[in-house]
This record gives sequence, C-alpha cells and structure tokens, in this order.
Amino acid sequence: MATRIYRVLLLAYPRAFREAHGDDLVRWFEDARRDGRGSRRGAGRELAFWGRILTDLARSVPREHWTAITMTPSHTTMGRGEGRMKLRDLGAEVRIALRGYARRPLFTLLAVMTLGIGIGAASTIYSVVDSVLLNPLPYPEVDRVYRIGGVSEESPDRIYAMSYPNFITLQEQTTSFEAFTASRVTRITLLDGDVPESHLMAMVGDEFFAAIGVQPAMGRGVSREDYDAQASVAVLSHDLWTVYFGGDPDVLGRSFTTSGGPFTVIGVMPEDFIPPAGIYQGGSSFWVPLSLWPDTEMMGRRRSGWLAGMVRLAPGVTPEVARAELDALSAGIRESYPEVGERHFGIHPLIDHTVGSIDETFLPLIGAVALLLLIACVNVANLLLVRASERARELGVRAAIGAGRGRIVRQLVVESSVLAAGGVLLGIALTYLGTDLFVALNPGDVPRLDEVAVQGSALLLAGAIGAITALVFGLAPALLSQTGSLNDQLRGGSRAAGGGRRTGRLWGGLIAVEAALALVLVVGAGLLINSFARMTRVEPGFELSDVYSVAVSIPDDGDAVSGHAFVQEVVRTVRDIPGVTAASATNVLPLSGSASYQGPHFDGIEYPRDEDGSDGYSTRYQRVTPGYFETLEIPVLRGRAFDDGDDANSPRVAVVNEALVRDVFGDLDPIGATFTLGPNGLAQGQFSIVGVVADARSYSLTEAPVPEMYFTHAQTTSGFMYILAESPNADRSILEAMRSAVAAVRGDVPPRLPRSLEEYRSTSIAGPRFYASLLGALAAIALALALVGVYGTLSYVFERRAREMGLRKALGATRESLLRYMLARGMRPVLVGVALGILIALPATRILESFVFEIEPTDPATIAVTTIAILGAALLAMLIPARRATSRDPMQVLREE
Amino acid sequence: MGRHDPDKPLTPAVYHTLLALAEGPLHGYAISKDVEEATEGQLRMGPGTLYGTLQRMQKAGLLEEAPAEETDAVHAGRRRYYRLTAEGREALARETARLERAVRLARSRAVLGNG
Repeated sequence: MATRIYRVLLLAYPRAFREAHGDDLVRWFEDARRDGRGSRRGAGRELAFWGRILTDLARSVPREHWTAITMTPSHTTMGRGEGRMKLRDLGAEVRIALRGYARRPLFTLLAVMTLGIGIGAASTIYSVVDSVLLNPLPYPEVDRVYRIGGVSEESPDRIYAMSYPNFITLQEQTTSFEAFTASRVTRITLLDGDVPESHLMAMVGDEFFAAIGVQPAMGRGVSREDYDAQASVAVLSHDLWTVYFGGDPDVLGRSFTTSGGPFTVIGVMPEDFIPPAGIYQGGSSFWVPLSLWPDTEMMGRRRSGWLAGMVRLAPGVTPEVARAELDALSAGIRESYPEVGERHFGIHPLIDHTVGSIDETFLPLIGAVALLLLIACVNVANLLLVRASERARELGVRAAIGAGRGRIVRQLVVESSVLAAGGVLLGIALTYLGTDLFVALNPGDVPRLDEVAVQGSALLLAGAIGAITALVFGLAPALLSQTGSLNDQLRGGSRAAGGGRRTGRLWGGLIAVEAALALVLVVGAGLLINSFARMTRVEPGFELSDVYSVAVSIPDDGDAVSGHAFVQEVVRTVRDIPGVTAASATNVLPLSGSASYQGPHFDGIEYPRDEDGSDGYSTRYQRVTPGYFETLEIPVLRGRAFDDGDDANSPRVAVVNEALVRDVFGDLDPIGATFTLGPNGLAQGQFSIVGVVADARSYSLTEAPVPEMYFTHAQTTSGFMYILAESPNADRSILEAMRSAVAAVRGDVPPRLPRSLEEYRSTSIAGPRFYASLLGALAAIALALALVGVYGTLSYVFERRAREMGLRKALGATRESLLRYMLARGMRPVLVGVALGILIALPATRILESFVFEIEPTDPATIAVTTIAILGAALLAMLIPARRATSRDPMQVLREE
Repeated sequence: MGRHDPDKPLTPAVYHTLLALAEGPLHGYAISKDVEEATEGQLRMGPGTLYGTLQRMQKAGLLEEAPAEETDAVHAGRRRYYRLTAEGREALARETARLERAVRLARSRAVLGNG
C-alpha cells in the first residue's frame, strides 16, 4: 500500500526523470522501509519516515523540473551545450508568445480579463478587510488598551458605562493598569467666531493620554494637577487648531470662549491622531479635564453609569490577571455600596469595540470573492486546456522536428507567464479602482473605512495568484499532451484530443464545478437582493416624504420652562415659513437607529414584567411637541394627540402605540390608565394615557414595531431636539429657511444636521443596499465568467464532434434531433454542477443570516429562481456552439478528414 | 551542472557520494546509507535528492553505471550499481586535498583549538 502511494507521488517528477529513475526510487523506498522495520515500530516512526519522504519530494521535485526545463536531456535530438537557458532565447520566446496571443485576440482577451477580474476582486476585498480588520488601531501597543466598565453574562459583547464614584474607586484600588481613564463626550458651542460653531468636547480623566499612548504634538496633556485643580485647560485636535485657530503657532496659552465657559489651550494633538471611534462616535475637537463636569449631583451618584472607561494594562500583566483583580474589587464595591446592585466590572479589548461585528459584515464578501476567484481560475484553466488541445498538433510537430521536451515545456510556461502577467497588471489596476469605489460607496456601517488604502500585501497576493496560475496552467497542457503519443497527435490532433473519454470527463468536471460555484454565489446575491427589495417595500407607519429637519441644542438657562418656550417659539416660526404645512419637534428622529427607554409602573393592572422584576416593564419613548403625529401622518386611533393645553402645569399625559396596548392592556381600554416612571425616571408624578397611535417603525425599517410611549416636550423637556417641517414640493432651500428661523429666535444656538427625512431613510438602508449591490455585482461577474467557460469549452467539444454529427446526418438523423442530443450532453455536467451547488449553498448561505430580511437564508423561492436562471443561461451559452456544430454540411466535414 | 568544473568546490552531497563509491560499486540505497553513517546522520539524502544527484554526477562524468557482473549482490539484475570514473576519482582526490588544506589552515590559526 505504502509503495503504491509513493508511486503516485512520483508523478510529480518530470517524465524523463521518472522514466530513468522511477524504479530506483521505489526500490530505495522499499529498502528503507524494510530496514526500519527491524528496529522500533509504531506510528511515530512511520510518521518520521513519511516526513523524510515528503521533505525529499518537496526538495527534489522543483529541482528536477528546473533541470528538465533548463537542460536538454542527453537522449533527445538536441546536441550538448544547447541546454542552458539563454536570455536571448527567453526574449524570443516572449515574442513568440505575444505573437501567438495576437493571433487569438478573443481567447487572449477572455483569459486576461478573467484572471484580472478575479485577482482584482480578491485583492480589493483583501485590502478593505486588511485595513479595517487586520490592521490594528494606530496607537502604540494597542493590544494593551482595553475598555473597562460594567459587564454582564447575558450580553458578553457589551461593556456598560461607569459612574464617577466607581471610576474613582477602581482607579485608586487597581494595580493591573498603567493608566486608567474615563471620559464623556458632550456637545459645546464655540463662541469666538463670526458664527457660533457646535463641536464635540471630550471630558477626560487625567490619564487619558497615557492610556491611549499618544501625547500632544505641541504643549502637554491634561495633568494630575490640572485635574485636581479643575483647571479650565484644553488640548486641541489638529483640525480645530488649523481651522478654528488658523494654525496659530503661539496657540499655547491662548484662551477661547465656549458656551461652557472660557478655556486655555495647553496642547495640540498630532495630525494623524484619531480618537477611538467606538467610544466617541466621531471626532472630538478638544479634550478637557473631566473634573470640570458641571453636574455635581450626577458625579456623586454611584449607581448611574455615564462614563466610558479605558485602561492600558501595565507591562507584563495579562488580561486574565486584570479580570481577576476586577472580580475581587467588584465584590468589594457591591458589599460597601449595596445600591450598585449586581454591578460587575470587566475589560474588553479596545479593538473589538471599534470594529464591532465586522467579521459578520465581511464574511459573506470574503466568501463571495473566494468563489469568484475560484471560478476565474477554473475558467482560465478551461480556456488554456482547450487551447492546449488545439495546439497538440503544433506541439507534436515541434517535437518531431527536434524541439526537446524541456524546450516545449519552457515555451508553455513562458506563454502562460505572459498571460498571467497581463492578468496581474489588469488585476492591480482593478484593485486601485475597486478600493476607491468601495470607499466611495461606504455603506456607513463599516468603521474606519476612510482609512482604507490599497495594501502592499494585497498586491503581493495578486502577484502570488498570478504566479501560481502561470505555473500550474502552464504545465497542465504539457501534462495533458502526455496522454496521447506523438504519433497520435500528428495523425489527427483534432480527433485524438477531443473525443477521449478522459479529457471529456475533465471538461465535464470543470463545467460542473463552475456551475456549482456560480450557483452558490448567485443564490447568496439573490437572497440579499430579495431582502433589500422587501426592505424598500416595508410600510414604516409614517410618511417621511416632504419632511425636513434641523437639530438644535436647547440653551440651558437653568429652567425647563424657558427651554420649552424656546422650542415652542422655533416650531411656531418654522410653521410660518411659506409652504410649510405642518411643524413640530422630537428628540428621536424616525429610522435614526437610536432609542431611549423608560420603565413605567402601570397602576391597577397586571402586565408582563422583565424577568428580574427589578425595573418592571421597559419601553421605548420619545419626547415630541403637539403636531408631531400630524407632521409624520401617524394616525391617532383612539383618544387624542397632544395639544398646547398640555403644559408644565397641567396633569401629565402620555400617548402610547398599539404595540404597547397589545402588550400591556390586551382588551382593556388604555385611555385614562395611569402610570409612574419611578425615582430615576424622566419625570416624577402620575401620567395618564390620553391617546393611542398606530405603530410606526421609529427605530429602523427592519425592526418590527415595539411598545412605545410618547411624552410631550412641555412636560419632559430635553436638551436636544429635532425641528421638523412638512413642506410638499419643497427643495433644499427650505432647510436654509429653517436655519434662519432658528437664528431669528436665538442667535447663539447653531442649528445642525439640516436634512430631509428621506436622506435618513436612505441612510438607514444604505448598508443593505451596499451589500446587495456589491454581492449582486460579484455574482453577475461570476455568472458571466462561468457562462464564458461553458461557451468556450463546449464550442471546442462540439466542434470536435462535428464529424460524428456529419456522419449521423448522412445516416438520416434530423438536425433537431442532433441539436437535442448535443444540448442534452452539454447540460449533463451543468445539471450535476447545479445540484452540487444547491448542496453547498444550503449550509453556506447561513453566513447571511443577519443580512436577510423577512426570508430564511435557505429561501426556496430564491434558490428555485436562481437555479432556473442559471440553467437557462447555460442552455443559451451552449446553444450557439451546438447550432454551429450541427449545421455543418456532412460531406464537407467528411472531406476535411 | 554541465560537465564537471574542476575549479569549483563540490557540494557535500556530491563529495560524500564520491567518498561512498571510493571503495567499490554500490547501489543507490547503499550509497545513501553509507553517506548517512559516514556523516553520523548529518547528511541524509532522500530518494529524489539521491537520484537527482546521481543523474547530474553521471552527466558530469564523475560516475557511471557499473556492469552487473562487477557486483556480487543477489539482486544485481534488478538494481542499478554505480562506480567512480577516473574523473570522479580525480575530483574526489582534488576535493579532499582542498579540504585538507583548509583544515591545515584552520589548525595553524588555532581555530580548532587542539592544533
């Protein structure tokens, strides 16, 4: 048995070497085995033996091939001394190859394009994945940087915000960390310019710069002294310094005015510093000491978390050690401060928080590209094999007039290298194009996409694929040409090469593989496209068209009434803009993907509670002004909507949606029912339900409506509101009018984010659209390549059978029956491939689980439609060559022999 | 490797193969065992490496196949035996002399310590 395996392995050697020494090698092998048997036996020895044999093969096979190529074996007709490879010969061979390709432009174009597209797609996706996923964040020793905060067993992927007292306690008591910081990002208005500018300000613990490992390029960071003294000092981002401060080289020591008071500049961050996106969601403009946080009551609460914690592990400390320390300290905190409840602290690598669920996002793309690359390779193999068979006769002639075998192999390798070089060049060009395209089409949910660039390693990958293709497919025809003797090839290359059972099986197999791979890819794309189509047909429950919004931060004058008066005034001014039919305000935009929760306690009824029972029932809520339901055309089903009579002094009221009624009240009448929000709630006192509205998908198009409450802004003021205006047939100038309206009410409040709600809607489906179109494009390319493969191969195979067809015709067969016969033969491998493809697709599409909407990843309709489409396309692709082969005049075919 | 170039040092595989054949014709497996024993396991040639080397040495004129009658082995008919050519012997002597000179030089510079 072992000897037989070894004999098979010997096929890797060049034929000449095998013929000369094959038996010697086998005898050596048997001798060595017999020799070893006397001593110790067992699997270990056997393994070592085979290890030696395989090492020997790996070392000597390339060497013998090289020898075969560069040296003319002495038993061929070529004289001695001509064997060495000469550069002059190489140039000539490249020229011969190019001339050969120029004579077959279609073949050349198809092969180069196939290879180029495969390589381009693979290295584009590789570039993106490598930049986003494999390249670490640009901080020194980022593997030591962790997020710290509350953790729970139910959602191990999340890390919760910390309270200020817990931050201080842990910072003092932990020893595992070199630096321990916490931060909170808040919006603030810079008042020194001609117009007020809204910016993000990060309030950070004193060890922030040590934790992140990046120090200011100019000046210094926030020190312990600054922190303890609550000094109003600020470190600027490079952007803020260049844009707002005009790149002033003497900026250190300058002070600037903000809505939160004056600050003195003590440092400027480096230009390439990127704040960790997972924590800050966008760039902060400057960093100030957290100790300046104005709300001392909030800072005193141990229970409520609002700070994002970040640590840098001390050198040599493993995360396990740090976790163990936190376990112990968590227990201590729970004991000393029972009000924290079941709080438990832990750490997560920072990198996980910035890339999030990226693996899931990219897995389908990587899979799709791998399939595409495989199809491309199979296709090139197909094309080259067909061409090799066509050339069998030519090669036979060349051998007969004295070209050594090494010489012919060398020519074939040179030819396929030229082809591969073309493919690689095209692939690299496509990589640059594709990467730019990918960034331009940024679906919005790929973090750090703006950092994507073509990676050197991606180009290396492209080169490697090219080199392998050149070698494998260059040698394949040489191996194939061994199957028939020289004599056969000279006698009738056409007949000998096409009709053989073995080559027939090979082509059938390649076609089947192509059909299978294409089916998997097209099914995947079909699922995403189907899902996307369903998504666009979803009725969100509100009318977004013709609605526009701007966001305002509500000036904090220390009392809620004036805050609401401001919003009321802005809404009134906006409603007076000509063309505006309705106006209102809300703190949560529809489809924005953000939500707030409250835990109402309903009086006097039984309703479902959360399992731990502690916070009772939790529901989403939104704060709106009267006119909100009208603006978005959300129908009021029972009771009433809010009106101006619901103010700070009147009884507290709420409107609920149908889902909440179903969930809590069942068949009971919710109108007039009362509830409270608990001690930590949005507002105190008893609320009563005055109205029920229809369900609306306020969070996202893909999420089914959930229980939701609406409060009126007059009774629950917010620091931040979106002003909405409905204006049919308006253009974007309405947004300018809305901004002016806000400025007319208060000049120091900069309106932000002027957008139409349609823009928000299209952003919310940008991700699905992006993946559906990308996978769709990849699938279309793959299908096209596969069809080219089917067409090219069958053109050749059918052509070879033209003589047989001619004979059958002469014997009385009709053209139709011949056509049917040919198509049946051609379709057989396609059917096998499609069946195989379905078997692969059923488990493979499960990676699309989180991408599909309203359908299963194994949606039978999608698979059926895809299968039929592929079968139809394949049939069309083979119809042309089949018709050509059966339309020949039998006499002419016979005469050609 | 074309014809053997007398000015070039021999590779260890070639040198030890010559050395193994210095005492008389051997077949392939015997050569590799001899080399392995002589070098205390430092040079182990697998079958592919061995026969590749033998073929190239043969082409370079360093060794040739021995006629069956020259060997006394039982399997003589089945096995291919190799023996040194005059050229091979010369190459072996030349290489050994070169190595000797190298060892002497090393000794004189006390590289080996116990010179």
